[in-house]
Amino acid sequence: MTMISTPGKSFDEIAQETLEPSPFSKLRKRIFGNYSFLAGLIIIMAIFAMALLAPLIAPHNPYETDLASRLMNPFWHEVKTDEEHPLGTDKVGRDYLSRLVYGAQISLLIGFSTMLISGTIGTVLGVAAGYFGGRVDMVVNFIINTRLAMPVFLVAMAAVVAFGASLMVVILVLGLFLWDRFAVVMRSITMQARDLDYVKAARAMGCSTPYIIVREIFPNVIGSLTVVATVEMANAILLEAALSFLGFGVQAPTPSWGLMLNEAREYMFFSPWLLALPGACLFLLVLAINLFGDGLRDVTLEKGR
Amino acid sequence: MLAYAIKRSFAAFLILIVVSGLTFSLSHLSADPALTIAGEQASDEDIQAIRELYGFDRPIYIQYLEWAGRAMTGDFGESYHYGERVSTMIAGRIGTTMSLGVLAILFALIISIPLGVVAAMRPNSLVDRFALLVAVFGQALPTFWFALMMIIVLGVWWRWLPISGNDSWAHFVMPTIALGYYATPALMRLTRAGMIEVLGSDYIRTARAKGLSPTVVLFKHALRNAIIPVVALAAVWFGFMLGGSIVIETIFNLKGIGWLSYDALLRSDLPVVQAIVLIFASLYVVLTLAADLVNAWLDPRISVR
Amino acid sequence: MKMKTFVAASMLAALASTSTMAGPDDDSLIVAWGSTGPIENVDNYFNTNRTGIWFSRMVWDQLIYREPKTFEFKPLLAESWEALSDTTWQFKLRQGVKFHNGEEFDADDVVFTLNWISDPANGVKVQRNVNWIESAEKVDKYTVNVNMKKPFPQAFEFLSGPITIYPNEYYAEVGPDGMHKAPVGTGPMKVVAIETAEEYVLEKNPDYTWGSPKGEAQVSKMVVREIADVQTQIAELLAGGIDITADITADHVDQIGGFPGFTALQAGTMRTGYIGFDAAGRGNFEPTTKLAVRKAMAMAIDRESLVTNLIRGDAGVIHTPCFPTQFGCDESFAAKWDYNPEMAKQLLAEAGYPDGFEIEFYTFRPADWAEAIMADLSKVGIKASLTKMPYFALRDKQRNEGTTPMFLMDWGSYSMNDMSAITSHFFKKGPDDFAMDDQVAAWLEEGDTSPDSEIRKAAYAKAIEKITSEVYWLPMFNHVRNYGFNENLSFIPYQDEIPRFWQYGWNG
Repeated sequence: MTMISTPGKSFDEIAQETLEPSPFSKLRKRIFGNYSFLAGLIIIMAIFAMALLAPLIAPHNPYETDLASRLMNPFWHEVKTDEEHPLGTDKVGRDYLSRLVYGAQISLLIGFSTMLISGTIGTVLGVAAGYFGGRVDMVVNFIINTRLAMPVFLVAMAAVVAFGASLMVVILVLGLFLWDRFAVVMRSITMQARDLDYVKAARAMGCSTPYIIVREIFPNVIGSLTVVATVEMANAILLEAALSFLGFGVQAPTPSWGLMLNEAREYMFFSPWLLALPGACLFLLVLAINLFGDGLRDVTLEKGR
Repeated sequence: MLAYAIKRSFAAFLILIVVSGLTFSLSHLSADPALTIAGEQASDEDIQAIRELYGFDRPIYIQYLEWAGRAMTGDFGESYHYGERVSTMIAGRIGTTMSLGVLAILFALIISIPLGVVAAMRPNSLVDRFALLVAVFGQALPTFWFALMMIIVLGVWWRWLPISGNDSWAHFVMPTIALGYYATPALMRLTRAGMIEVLGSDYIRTARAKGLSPTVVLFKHALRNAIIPVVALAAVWFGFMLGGSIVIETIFNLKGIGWLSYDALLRSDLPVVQAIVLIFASLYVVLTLAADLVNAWLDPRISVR
Repeated sequence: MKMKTFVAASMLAALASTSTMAGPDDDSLIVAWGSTGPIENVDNYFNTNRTGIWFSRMVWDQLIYREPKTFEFKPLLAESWEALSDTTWQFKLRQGVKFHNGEEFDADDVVFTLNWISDPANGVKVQRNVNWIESAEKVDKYTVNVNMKKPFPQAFEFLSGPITIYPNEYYAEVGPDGMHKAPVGTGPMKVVAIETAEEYVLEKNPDYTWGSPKGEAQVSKMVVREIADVQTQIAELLAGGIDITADITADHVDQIGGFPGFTALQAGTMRTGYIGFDAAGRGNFEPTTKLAVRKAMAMAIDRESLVTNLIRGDAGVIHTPCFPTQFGCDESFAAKWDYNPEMAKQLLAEAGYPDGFEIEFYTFRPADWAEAIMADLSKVGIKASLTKMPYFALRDKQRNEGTTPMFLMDWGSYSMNDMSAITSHFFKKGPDDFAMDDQVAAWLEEGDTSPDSEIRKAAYAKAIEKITSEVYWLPMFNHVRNYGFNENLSFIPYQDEIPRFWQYGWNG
């Protein structure tokens, strides 16, 4: 879920590992060509479309309760079903299909926002450390190490208790915790880029530091940045689900898949589909992001070498 | 070398100060400890008396310094809720978590090494494809969801395995699988990659040319080399799983450190939360420091850098 | 339906094939509890858990027994009593009772226990339970005088509830720590082993034959397992690992009850749920300080539907800021707010909120109740956003910050059948008071301290009338305990939220 901090490994080595093509990439290519990358992309696009078009797709308002028709069975059952609710209803009578559809919005929102926040923090720290080196690097190294020393899940839970659980708090907490891999990778790549001939040339010509970072360094790191971003997005989505599942995440009645799993637990032995469906959605989304990220890594690396 | 060691130790110490300071303020934000100690039915006088008795009315940094001073001598104070010494509580519970961690990592190794080796020897075979599937699934499967599905099927439907508690080895089977599967993809990928690299190396080619039997080459030479980084990674995962066990211990009613931290967060039992965070952080810091020093000793250039 | 049939079929197959761990075979009972956390110290005076009360009733006895169905006071360790003055009760003690360690029960034990717990230096956790005791004196070997600091009409509620009698020699020697490790009492069950937060092993007390109204234990051995997760408890129940759980939800009752081999039922309790409003404006939220708004909210919430669909069992809508069986809690004085969304909208418009407003809504209970309430409020234009917090974090926010304009909470009154246990806690201007009404506080004080029960009733009635007509609280419903158990168990439900586990035995 979070970065595996290997004692004794330098940050450079860790960065290297993150960006190496997955050992299966060749095999995968042999089997599918680039289909898995494509499959990942297609699933992501589909879920994205589902999130965007939720008001059109969802048959009901995901927040609309109806205590009289609570816990309806899905269509494959024989009794207590309702054509209005093809996947049944939850414990306060909300349409389950609609909640699943809207759940895509929440997961993607959490994935993207967390990634943006952590990506920004990590990139700023990493690029600064890599570009300036010296004392800046030392300070950034210290900050990264401090972050790595914290047991993320535990501290995230404590933070949620302290600030009160809400979508915003969860996004902020995850965003403030999941930047380590960004920082490590950006630092390492920036260091390499700094020593490229044309960057050196730009410096010799007296170009301003912001100019060099934006125009010369950034194009070099953007590929790796995207790869790390996919990994962290998948992490954020799984972590939110785990937090919500334990009751330390987003608040009801938000249709988050993690929270739906938490609510469905009560019925796990008797209405297992309530648990199976949001779990499957989560699984599919994370799977797709991973496939996509793996594929992206191959492409980036081919270009880079 | 000595100067380097001192510098690194100082940095490590500083990290612990920052981490524990952050946790301390975070947890004191979350709840009034006096209320926690007094309990549900306490009167206001009870609460005020406790506040004064424990010194919660003093500025937070003074409380932190006092706590940190005692923590350095291994005294984490008493649990607000249980009234027991925190060190005793943790000592009594760490065994369960350690057993779970060791079992889970063994499970992961037993699955990932043979699969990884066969996958490396016969790329593109059925086994290889299966290994790919296991890896891709494992990465995207929310651990807690997997655990619940196992309870439904193996525990309740088929009654093969006991569901909760830690009375016998059988009680550890499901938690071990749930937690171990989580580490499997990473370990398997590394085994496979390592094996492919080693099998292609000159040294194995020489061994083969010398006419050694393929089995001897595989087990005595190739595997031994490929497995070292896997074991190193496994050690890291072990530390990481202590964190992942929060969810698993809660689900399977294993009363280890993970459960303890969850329980402590729910009832704002601050000394317990702080101690557990500090212990995890120290574990990381000490491991990193040790590795750094060993590396520096092996390679004197590092300490100069 | 297919899925369900399959589940049921495979479960049945399993039932037939495996020998169950729990069950009537060896005359033992395995209980699971603990969804609100394990007991921190089983010493009755050093925990605040509901399950701590359950445990204490098995191991210890009180001086007085309160009949759980009629609420009458009957002899237990005391055989009779009389009031010597406004502030002194004299108790004649029962003879021939033994503690589990063989120590004989007599006046020394009672005197020691009462004096020990009422000494603040000993740090009994719930001071309210004991701080009314001035002292206890031995008159002779089986007679004790109990002196109160001032006339205290609720004394018997405490003497029949939280105040259990300890063996003086043993407790003086081991203290709370020792009592936690090896509890010794006179009760129907005696403790074999205590493993904190894991399990407690108890066995039948063979000497409990002196005709206690609590009855003898029905099984020879009992194991209580602390299982925090309700789903895990159910899995264990269905898999035969435990015999009974008291932590399940209303929906589980239907589901478990539908299973061959299991029974599930609901028993109403005196735990009273309510919605509190920040009428005093402690959190500077304006709408809830207006009476018209609070009335509108009361009328916008369909409590009947909530009770029928979500709580069920023998729960009912409550109109009083206390439970109607409690002393002083006379429902006829309460203002009743029937469901009337049209009227609610009108009131909102008059109060200056024709389009409703946004409000933060807090609870620590399962979100579905709050969600149903929020849906009702949204129909009159009030947009509530829910914050579900752990219990202690929420109480902290309420007490120290006061920034909770609206909250769904409940109170178990410590199983005491006297309204001072709930209303007086919340409306006497303490940190939990969001009304800050001087009049109400004064009436409650009068009701709490007057020795004359008619004066008490009159004072409490005035408080009830004001609290409900000002809608400081919208009383909601009494909670229901839901039990699931092996169908061969003879189970008796009680309204005071205290299952008497020792009374459950195996049929046939």
